[in-house]
Amino acid sequence: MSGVELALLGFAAMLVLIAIRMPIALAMLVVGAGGYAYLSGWNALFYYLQTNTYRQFASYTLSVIPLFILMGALAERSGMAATLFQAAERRLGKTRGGLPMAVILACTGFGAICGSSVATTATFGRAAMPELRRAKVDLGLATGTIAAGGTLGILIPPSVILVIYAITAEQNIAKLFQAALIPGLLAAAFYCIAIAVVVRRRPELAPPVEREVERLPQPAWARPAGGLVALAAVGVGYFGLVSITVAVLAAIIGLVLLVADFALVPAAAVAVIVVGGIYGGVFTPTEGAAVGVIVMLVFGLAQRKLNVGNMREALLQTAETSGMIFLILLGAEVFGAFLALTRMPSTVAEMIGNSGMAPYAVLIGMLLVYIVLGAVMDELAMILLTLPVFVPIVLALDFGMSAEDVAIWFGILVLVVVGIGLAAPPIGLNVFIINKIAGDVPITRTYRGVMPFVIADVIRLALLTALPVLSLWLVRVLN
Amino acid sequence: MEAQSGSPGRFACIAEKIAAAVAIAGGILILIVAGLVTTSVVGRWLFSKPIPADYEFVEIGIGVAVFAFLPYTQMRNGHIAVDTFTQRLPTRLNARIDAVWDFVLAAFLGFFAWGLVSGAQESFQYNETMVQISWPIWPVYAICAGLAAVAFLGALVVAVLKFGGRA
Repeated sequence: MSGVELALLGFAAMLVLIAIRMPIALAMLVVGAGGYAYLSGWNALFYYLQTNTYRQFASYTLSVIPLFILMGALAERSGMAATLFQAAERRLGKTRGGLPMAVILACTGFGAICGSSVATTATFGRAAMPELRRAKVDLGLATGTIAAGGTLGILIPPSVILVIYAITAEQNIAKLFQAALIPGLLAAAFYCIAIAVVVRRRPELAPPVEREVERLPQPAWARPAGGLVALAAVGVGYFGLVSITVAVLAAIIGLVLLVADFALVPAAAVAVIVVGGIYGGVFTPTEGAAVGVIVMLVFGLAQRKLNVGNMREALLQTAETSGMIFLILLGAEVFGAFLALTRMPSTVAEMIGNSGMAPYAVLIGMLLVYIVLGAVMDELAMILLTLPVFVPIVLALDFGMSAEDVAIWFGILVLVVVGIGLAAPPIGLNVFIINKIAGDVPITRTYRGVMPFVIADVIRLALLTALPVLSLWLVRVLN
Repeated sequence: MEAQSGSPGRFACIAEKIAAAVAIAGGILILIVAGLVTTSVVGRWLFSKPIPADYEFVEIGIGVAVFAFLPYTQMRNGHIAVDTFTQRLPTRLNARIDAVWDFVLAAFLGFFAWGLVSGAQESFQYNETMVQISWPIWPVYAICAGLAAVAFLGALVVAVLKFGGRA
C-alpha cells in the first residue's frame, strides 16, 4: 500500500469511528497510534508515546491556551459584558434596530478581552437576552444576533482558534493577531449592516427601546483626566521618554476616558494591555495572556464582581475546556506523526503544486471543504485534522506572495470559516448555546434569525479571499 | 464493582467531587503561573530583572495542570463527540457505545500513566535535570503519572457506570 493510500484509509477509518460516537480526540489517537505502529512497529510506538504526553502538554507555546481560556472565564464573570452592553445601548437603543446593533458593538469590545466564542455567546446570552426580550425584539433576530455576535469572540484578537492555527501551521501568533484585527472589525460592521437590512424590510422585528437607559456612573473628573492622560502620553511619546508602543496604548486609554464612559476603562485597559502589548512586542502571547489573567482578576476583585464561588466556577470551566482541547491536540499530534510517516501531505502538496491547477481554484475548493465539514463537525477538530494536509498545499501554491504572507492570510480565512461553522445550521455550537440559555425559542427560529449574518459572513469571506491586503496590511505596518 | 453494589448516584457524585478538587488544584497552579509570569514581566520592564528561568516554570506548571484537568473533563463528558448519526438509536445502546469508548480512553490513559512511570524511573537513573535549573525532572514525571492514573480510574468509573446504564 502506498503512503497516500494508507493515509486516506486512516482518514476514512477515523471518520467512521467519529460517526459512531467515538470522541474525536480518541479517534485521532487510536487511528494515529495504529497507523504509526503499522509503519514503524509497536516498539517504536511505545517509545514515541512513553513520555510524549508530558512533552506535548508542557510546552511554552501551548501554555497560552489555558491562560486565555481562564482570562475569558474570568471576563465572563467580571461584569464587563454588561457594562459594554449598557454603554452601547445608551448610544444606539433609541434607533430602529439599535438594540441588536448594540449587542454586536458590545460583543466586539468583549472580543478584545476574551478569546473564545463559546464564552462570548454564553456571556451575552445572560447579559443582553433579558433586555432584548423586554424591548420586544423578535426572538429569532435576538438569538441570531447573539449567536453571530458570539463569533466575534474569536474573530477579534485575542483568539484561541487563531493560537491553535498558529501552533499547527508553525506561524507567529502575534502576527496572526495583527492580521485578524481589520477582518474582525469588518465582521462587526457587516453584522450591523445585516441588521440594518433586515430591520429596513421588517421594522417590527426590532422596535426602538422606550425606557430611559440608566447612565453609567461618570465622575466629574473622568473626562478632563482622560484628556490629560492622552495629552501626556502623546507628549512623553514625542520626546522619547517611553517607548512608542507604551505611549500609544496609554493614549488609547486616555481617549476612552475622554469620549466614552468611565465604566469602560477596565475593559479597555485589559484589551489595550493584552492585545496592544502583544502587537507592540512588549511581551510574548503567553506573557500577554498571563498579564491579562492577573489584570482581569485585580479588576474583578476590586469591583467585587469576583468571589470564591464564581472563581471556583471559572477554574472548573477552564479545566474542562483545557482538558478537552489538550486531549484533541495530543490526538492531532499522534495522528500528524502517522501522516508525516506516510508522506501523504508533502506528496499531495507536490502533486497539486505541479498539476497547474489555478491556485485560487484550489484555495476555494479547500474553503468549500471547510464549510461542508463545519456543518457536521466540531470546528476545532476540523482544523486540527485538515491543517497538516492543507497548509503544505497552500504553501505550495503560487499567489505571488511570500510563504509567510500566504500562511497568515490562509489563517484568517480559516478563522472566518470556523466562525461560519459555529453559527450556521445544521450544527452551530453558538446557536445551541444561546438556544439553551434563552430556553423558550424554537431552534428553527434561531436558525432563521442567524441566516442574515451567515450571508454577511459568506460575503466577507469572499472579500477577504479576493483581497489579501485586508489581512496583511496591518501586519506590514506594525512590523 | 462498587458501582453495582452501593448507591451509584452517590458513588458518581464522590468521584466527580474528587475530580473537581484535582481540577481546582490545577487551576490554582495556572493562576500561580500567571502571577509568576506577570511578576517577571513587570520586573523586566521596571528593573530589567525578569525572574530567571520563568520560561521553564511556565512549561512545567501548565504541563502538570493539564494532567490535573483530564479527570474532570472525563467526568463531565467534556470530550467532544459527534452524535448526529446515532441520534435515532435507542438511548441505552448509545450509552453502551459511549461506555466502550470510555474503556478505550481508559486504556490509553493507563498506558500514558505507565509510560510516565517508566519515564520517571529512567530520568531518575540518568540524573536528568531541568534545562535551565539544575533540579531533577523525575518528580514532575511522577506527579503527572499519578494524575494520569487518576484520569485512568476516572475513565473506568465513567465507563462502568454508563455500561450499567447509571450515568
